[in-house]
Amino acid sequence: MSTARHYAKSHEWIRVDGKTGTVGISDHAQKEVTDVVYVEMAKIGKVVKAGDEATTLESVKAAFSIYAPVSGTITKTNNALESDPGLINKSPFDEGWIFALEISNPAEVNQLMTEEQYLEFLKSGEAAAHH
Amino acid sequence: MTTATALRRSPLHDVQALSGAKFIDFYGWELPVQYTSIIDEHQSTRQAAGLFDISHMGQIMIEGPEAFDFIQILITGDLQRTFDKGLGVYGHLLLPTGGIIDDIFVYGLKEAKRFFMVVNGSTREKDVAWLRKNVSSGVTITDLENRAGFAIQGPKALEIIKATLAGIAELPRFAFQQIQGGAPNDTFWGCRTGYTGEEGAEFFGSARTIITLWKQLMENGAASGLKPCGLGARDTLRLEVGYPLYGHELTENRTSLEANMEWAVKWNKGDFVGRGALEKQKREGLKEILLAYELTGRGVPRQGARLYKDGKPGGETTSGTFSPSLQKGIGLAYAPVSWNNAGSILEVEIHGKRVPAKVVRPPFYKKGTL
Repeated sequence: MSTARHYAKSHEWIRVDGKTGTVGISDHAQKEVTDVVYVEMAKIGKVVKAGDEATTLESVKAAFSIYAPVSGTITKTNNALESDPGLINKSPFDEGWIFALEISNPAEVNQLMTEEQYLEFLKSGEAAAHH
Repeated sequence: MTTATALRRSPLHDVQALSGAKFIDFYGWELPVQYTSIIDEHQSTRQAAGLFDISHMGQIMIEGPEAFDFIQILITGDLQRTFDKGLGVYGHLLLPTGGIIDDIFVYGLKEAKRFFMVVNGSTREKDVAWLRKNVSSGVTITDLENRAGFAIQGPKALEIIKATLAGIAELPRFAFQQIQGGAPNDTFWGCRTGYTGEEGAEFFGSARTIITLWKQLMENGAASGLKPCGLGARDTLRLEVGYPLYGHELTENRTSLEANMEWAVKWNKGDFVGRGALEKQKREGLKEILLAYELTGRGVPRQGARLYKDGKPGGETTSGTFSPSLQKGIGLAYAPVSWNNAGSILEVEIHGKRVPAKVVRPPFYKKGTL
């Protein structure tokens, strides 16, 4: 299921398959966000640049922006999250994916962190500034 | 306050850390926000029982031959009830303007002329200063140090207490006892109070006694589903039953009447600080009142979310959350008195969008054990 994930400092992951990237939030992020209760479905066809807000989610605790880790056009949303937003907490890397996009600049993927780098980043303390 | 070392720690900190608590800064205290999940802890309390650290709350002893009169004049509740019925008395400490300094519980032992007052952690210093400013001869005020406390709440709370301690579970709601026990040669207070809308009790005492009791209850309650809970669940639980929180619904800029808590003002008791201001407000009529609303559309209202009625702005949310029991957004807000009719349609602004809502009569959640 999980091929290599790349991570943004804002705690989204992206898994790339050809031109398509699937995006969700990291296990660390879902723990910080706590119980997700609503996920706004991203707009299909929306063009986003890396770092743009793609959509938002609400947990019991607060509202959070979900940023596009790379530039592209949103092609799909995970509609299962409408009835079961808790999938993000239960399965952040698989069933809890949030949206997919067609990547416009594949080179941007290489600027993201690998999983190993991301785990180091979490330990660095810098991570807390990016929630 | 930039580092965790500046935060005050509850005596229950270590035992909670062992249970997997995740801590946050709560008014200068490092307290658990959650263990596993706010919703899990919330449901555990509604269905079985939850254990909540409340060591940050202020514990004040007021003693002396004049202590009764001293307290009676400073609170909106009637202290006579603590003697007549053996119950804890809830009330507001008011400014002469009617503004709320704090909401408190006070428990009295007649023979000993001793009164035990429990106040909010965020207002403790202010409360003590207010008490000391008004103190007369024949009264001693002690702001107790190195104290701790916890609440056990939920439909199974009383049977778990019974398995651990005699007496408390059999008491009526709001009653209290000073009990011998916990650490050797120590006493503690057991009060049939809480902040969740469920049966249960709150215990206050020395750090070592409260740690001992916490561990005993955890052990005896595990089989019944007792779980330690954080501040996150404490907030969703109290909001589902419409209980106010100091600093949100209750402030020095709002009166007991505006907070829709006239039940906490005992007009028959005689004079008290702020009475004149409340009488005047009652005579002239309120402009705004605290109302409760449920979202009929999607979203989660938060503190500060503005209210609209027929397109006109007029209210502001003081507390809002997602109700795990009702599976919808709920909020408390100050708004024009004329808006406070159950069923009235409102709109709440969330992320720049107006989401439909309706006024309801609290509690939002009506199936609690109380």
